[in-house]
Formats: sequence, structure tokens, C-alpha cells
Amino acid sequence: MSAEEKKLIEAAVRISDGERVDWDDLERSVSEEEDRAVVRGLRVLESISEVHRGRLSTGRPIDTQAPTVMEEPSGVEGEDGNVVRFPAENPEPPRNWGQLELIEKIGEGSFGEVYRARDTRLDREVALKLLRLRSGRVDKRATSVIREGRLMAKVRHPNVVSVYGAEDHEGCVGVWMEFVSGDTLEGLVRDRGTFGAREATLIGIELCRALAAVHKAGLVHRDVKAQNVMRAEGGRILLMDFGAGWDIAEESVRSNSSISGTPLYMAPETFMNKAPTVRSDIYSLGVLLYHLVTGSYPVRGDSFFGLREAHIHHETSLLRDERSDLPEAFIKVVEHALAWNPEERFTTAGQMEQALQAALGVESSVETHLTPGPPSATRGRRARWLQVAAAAVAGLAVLTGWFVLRDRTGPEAPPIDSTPATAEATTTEAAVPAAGSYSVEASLFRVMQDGRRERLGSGSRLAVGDKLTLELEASRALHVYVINEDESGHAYALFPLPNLDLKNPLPAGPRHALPGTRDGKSFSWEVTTSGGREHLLIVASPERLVEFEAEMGALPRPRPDQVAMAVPEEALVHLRGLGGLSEVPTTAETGSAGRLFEMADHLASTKELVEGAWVRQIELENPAED
Amino acid sequence: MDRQDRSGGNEQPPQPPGGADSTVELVHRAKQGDRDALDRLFARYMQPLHRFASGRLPPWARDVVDTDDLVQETLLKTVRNVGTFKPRESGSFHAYLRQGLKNRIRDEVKKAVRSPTARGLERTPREPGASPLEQTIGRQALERYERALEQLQEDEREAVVARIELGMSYEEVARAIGKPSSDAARMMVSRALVRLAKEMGHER
Repeated sequence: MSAEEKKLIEAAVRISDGERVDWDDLERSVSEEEDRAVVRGLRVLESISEVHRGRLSTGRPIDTQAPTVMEEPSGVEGEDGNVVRFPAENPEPPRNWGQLELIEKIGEGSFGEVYRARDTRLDREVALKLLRLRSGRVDKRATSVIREGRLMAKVRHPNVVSVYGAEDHEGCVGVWMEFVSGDTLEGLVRDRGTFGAREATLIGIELCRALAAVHKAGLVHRDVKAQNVMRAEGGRILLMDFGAGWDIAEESVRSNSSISGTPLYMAPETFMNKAPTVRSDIYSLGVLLYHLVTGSYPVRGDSFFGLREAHIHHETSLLRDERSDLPEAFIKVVEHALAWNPEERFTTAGQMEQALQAALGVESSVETHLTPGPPSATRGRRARWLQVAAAAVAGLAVLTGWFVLRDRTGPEAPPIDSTPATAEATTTEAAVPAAGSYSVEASLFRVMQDGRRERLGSGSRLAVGDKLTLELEASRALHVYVINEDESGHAYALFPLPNLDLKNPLPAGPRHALPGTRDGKSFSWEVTTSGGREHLLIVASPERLVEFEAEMGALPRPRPDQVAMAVPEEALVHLRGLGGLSEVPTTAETGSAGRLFEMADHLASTKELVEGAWVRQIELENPAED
Repeated sequence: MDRQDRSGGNEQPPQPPGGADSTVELVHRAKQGDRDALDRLFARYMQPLHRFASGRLPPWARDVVDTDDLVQETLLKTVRNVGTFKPRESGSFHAYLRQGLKNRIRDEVKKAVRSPTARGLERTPREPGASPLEQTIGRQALERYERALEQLQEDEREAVVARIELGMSYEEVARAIGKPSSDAARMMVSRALVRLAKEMGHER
């Protein structure tokens, strides 16, 4: 028997015995192509053997389009071999579970189902992950679900979904948690395409914070992936699903335990049965960032085995090959997180966050010459929102137009339907039309009692009870944000508004009237208080501005049916400016189509060519009433 | 080289589940109506067969197919039909059992795909979908493996199936293939694995 053959037999014996094979060593010791083919075959046999031993948990699909929170490492059954399921013959969902009233099903997987529910005691909406047991069976997954709940409840952080509890009610095991309305990052990538580096960086920063909190609690998440991150309405980034989580302290005990996690996000060492660590979570976060900007994965394969092979042979698609347009600083952070050797990765999530912040800083330096000098008298006060906007758009490829509509002290409002006023300001237009540029046209109107509309520009005078609407038309889909900041620094998020039908991104083509409609009725912003000036900041961007949205999420929003005069005295301070939201008189609706068309024609000459983001700041007079 | 016998994993029970009697003996006694022998066969094979089935059933199918029932019925049927299979001295009970279970799984998956009760379930795809085993090694590799398994000698195949797929102890493998000792069975399995790997390599 040749030395090579002996080595191969030894490897086969180890496979048969259920022991680890030193593949690197074996590969080094064979030279013939035929023997190498045998080594490849033995590797497959090792995997087959492991699946049959129940060592590999492979139920997580390679296909990452699978639903999200609701996933569960199914794979090969545990020793008891029990399967958790909802009996197919009983599709009727339960109505109640403990103090929770089930409202609707929002997801399901092989383990059970997820519901939107109401906690009747605390009167709040929650998400309930329910696992139903088959009668008379003790199920390991029941324990694991309760355990998952216990682990998650340890972590309290704004970027981590809060778990409220885990219990067993009459054989129905469930975990209930914060109900988050929004999209998963996977859904966003799938539906709206990949993210820009800046957005990905901002998301990465929030996820680093979430992971730091998870790690601080002594846990490893083990399943960081785009399906497990939600972007809530308002922009908050939330890490969820600890289905695969475990205690770091238990690592030593379980060092040879089964593999879990989604293969495409798994760190190379976890393919070799090494226990997941903080650094394997960091690797997964690196994969997530890579995925956000490319829609693909650094290591690819059509099966668990194929992926493992690719990892073993360091077959990685470099981010700089996939997206050479991205900032070097961002690419470096991702590459550092994706280092094959865990020792070469960031040591902690905090370290990675720091690097992402630094990458952001490099980009933000652009901001200094992009940020315009607002009128000196108000520079300090308005710096905040301008800065937020500047930071939000600085990462975009080019920012050609940044206009400040100058404070026009003239007290008179422009005449009704006067000449186009959209860009009547100092046009520092340096825009050179380029590939990828688009046109934007926007006008601000006061809606009169009789439905007529009066175009407003910087310096226009407002009064309590005025109803405003912004019309916007663009040649490509845009994410539009409108903020109102008053003289005292109070700000309102005016658009987008969650309770209206008009949502970002606004589709290209038709003219949109902001803030939008509900139940077929058009709404406008209403001036509820007076005093000083109102500043209207309008930001439009082809890319979603995640950080900006997060900032906006904290701002109060005007509410429908909020009547200016009915507001209690003490609340006024919070309801200054454009705090109200009212229905636009409908009389103008008739015939408005013609006028809109006419206006579009008329405004054509002021259509602006933009590349990157488009930002406008309009100052309106809102003098205090005597 | 470590010569210690091992059953399913690193934790070795002193005896295989269902006692030390050889499977062939138990099958014959069970066929003659020995209830105890049947119970012992169940004790021995339920878990390994369940694992085998789980590896080959697409995850969604486990919501509509009762793996326990599937395994039980296959085992019973195999015992019932034992007369039609000739337990030679080398034996091929495990391969026979495996084939029965494979056929049964294939039929169940077909049925489940057509079944109206499966329609409402989210994970139900239009086609059978990948089993965990396919997801692990890839469909092509699994097909290569199955074909290569067919190329082996009967006792080699029996050794691989019994040890690698069903996790039988070397002692049981030795009895199944008529080898004098656990060590001999262990070498048989290992050589069969290298042969399999070669066959699979040839196909590339």
C-alpha cells in the first residue's frame, strides 16, 4: 500500500469513526490528480456522515429569499426526532394566548407561526412567535424557544428588538416581543436594489452597537443576516431573532456542537465546526454590509458543502472587484471584518463601529465645502438640520446643487400664481448635466379657502390657519424629506408622514402633492402658531437617507384633525409652525388637472438638472400676531 | 490507530439499542410473531431511520408528512417482506431497509406536493425542493454518491449504509456483513469509503 493510499484509508477510518479529518494535511500529502479526486470524494462522504449523525444542522436554506424572523434552524432532527408543526388539518389559528389577543398572522416557518397580537393587560401591540407542540410529546424545541426568549430578554438596546417574555400556555409555547413595523434589509435589497456605501455604513454603525449590547450580555448572536435586521418605519435599525444565539460561557462545553446559522453568512471557522464567537458575528456583519452594497455574497456556493469548499480554498470575491466605485475607507472596513483568519478581524463590535465612524468621517469632510453658508444671523440655530442633511447626502456620489433660498425681507407675498418661484433664489448652479442626472421641479403653495392656490417663495408671509402643500415632480424616483424648523429651533417632520398614503420613494413621472392623501382626501400642512420665521428644508435623494430618517423619526409630526385654535395653551410651544395637518378644500380639485398641466409647461424652464441629492431651504415669514 | 469500537458517535452505549442479538436474527423472530423481537428492532432502528428520513425530506415536507409514521411503516413492511429478500451470509438488510425508506419518502413527497392540504403552507414549493442532505452537499454530489453506492459490492454497500447512514455499531456491521470482528468491519467500511470516493471522483 502506498503512503498516499494509507493516508486515504486513515482519513476514511476517521470519517467512519466520526472523528475530524485534518484535510489540510491530507491535501498536502497527495500529489496525483486521481488521489486529489478521492480526497474531494471523502470530503463529501464526511458531510454525508455528519448529516446522518445529526451533527450538521442544514435546514437553513442557502436561498436567502426565505422569510425572516420566522426562520428556525430546522434541519436534521434532534435525538428525540420530534417535529414541531401545526397539524395541516387544523389551519384555524388560536384566538388568544395567555393575555395576548391574536390579531393577524405575519409569518410562519416549520416551527410554527408569528402573529401580530395585542397584550390586553398592557394594551400594547406585540409580535408573538408561537410554537405548537404535538400532544403528549416533549419537544426539545419548546425548551429552545423558551431559552431563546430568556436570552433575548437579557438584552435591552434601541437597536435590538425587545423581548417581553416567553411562556408555555396549555402546550403552546410562545415568545412575545416588540412589534416592529417596517422592512427587513433583505426585503429592501430585493425590492429596491442595493444600498450606497454611506447608508450601509450608517446601518453598520447601528448594528455594531446592537452587537456590542448582545456581546456585553454574554451572548453570541450566531445569525446576523439581512433577513434578521429590520428597518422600522422612521428609520430605526433593529437586530432580531436570537433563534441561534447561545451563551458565550457555554462555548467550551459546546465547542464541538452542531453548526447553525445561515451558511452564506457563516464565518469560515464555523464551517470547520469551531464554536461561533464574537468574531464570527463580526464576520457575518461584514457579509451583511457586503450584501447591502452588492446584493451578492463574498463567498458563494450552491450548497453547504460547496460553501465550505470555497471557504477552505479562500475563494472570496473581493468587494473592491464588485464595487470599485465605493469609498476605499468603507471597502477596508468590510474587508477587515471579512478576514479569513478570525484573529485578523476586529476584536469587538465597538472596534468595528469606530472604523465605520472613521470611514464616515473621511466622507464627511466633503461636507465642509458642500455645506452652504446660511444667513449669518441664523447660522448657529439652523446648523443642526443643515448638518444632518449635509451629512446625509455627503456620501452620495455627487452633490451638484445646494441652494439656500435667501431670506427675503420683503413683507409681500408673491401674487397668486405668479411666475415660477421654485428656484428664484440665488442659483449657485454649477450643475453640469451628466449621465445619471435627473430633473426636479418643486413648488410650494398656500391653499386658499376657495381651493385656489398661491405660490410661495422665500420671504412669503404666513398666517395661522394657512394650509400649505408642496408639489414635486422628478424624472426619477426620489426619497423626499421635508422638515420645518421654527425660529426657536423646534422642528417637525412634515414628510413622509406614516398615516398618509404617499410614501417614499416617490415614483418618477407624475407630480406629487405633499404631504399626501388618505382615503382619497388630499391633506396639507396647517400653520398652527405664529412667531418669527419658518424654515422649510426639503431634501430629495435618489438613495434612501437612513440616518436622516432616523433623525427625523425623533421629531414630532403634525396630526390630522389637529385644529390650531383648539390646541390647549400649554401645548402651543410644541405645536408652533406647521404643526397641523388638514384636509385641502376640494373645490380646487375640479379643473386642477388642466392647471397642473399648464403649470408644468410653464415651469419647464426652471426644471433643474440634478445629480446626487437635491436640497432646498426656504424661509417663510410667520410674524407674531399683535 | 485507535482501535476502539464506536457506535453512532463518540458516546458508546455498552450494547446496541434493542440488545445484542443480530438484526437478521431479530427480523426472523419478528416475522414469526415474536413481539419482543419486533420491539427490539424498533428500538434499534427508529432513531437512525428517523435521522435518515429527516436528511432526505425537504424541510417543508416535514410539516405534512409524519416522519415517525413513515419510518414505522417502512420498518414493519420490511420485516413483513423479509421472506422475499434473501439474507445471505453477507447480508444486505440495511441496504434493503434504506431502499424501502427511500422509495417511501419519494412517494410521500410526490403525494405531499399534490396534496391540497399542503397548498396553504408557506414553505410548500411547486417542486419537491431540496432536502437537508441536498442542501449540505448539493444535488449533483448526492446523485454522484447514490450512483457510486450502486457500483460497490453488496457487502461494501451494506457496510457503508449500516455504518455511515444508519450509525450502527461496528459489531452490528460485522454481523450484518458476516465479518469476524468489529475491527474487520471497521476496515471494511473504511475501504468501502475510499472505493466510493474513487467512484465519485471518476464521475467528475
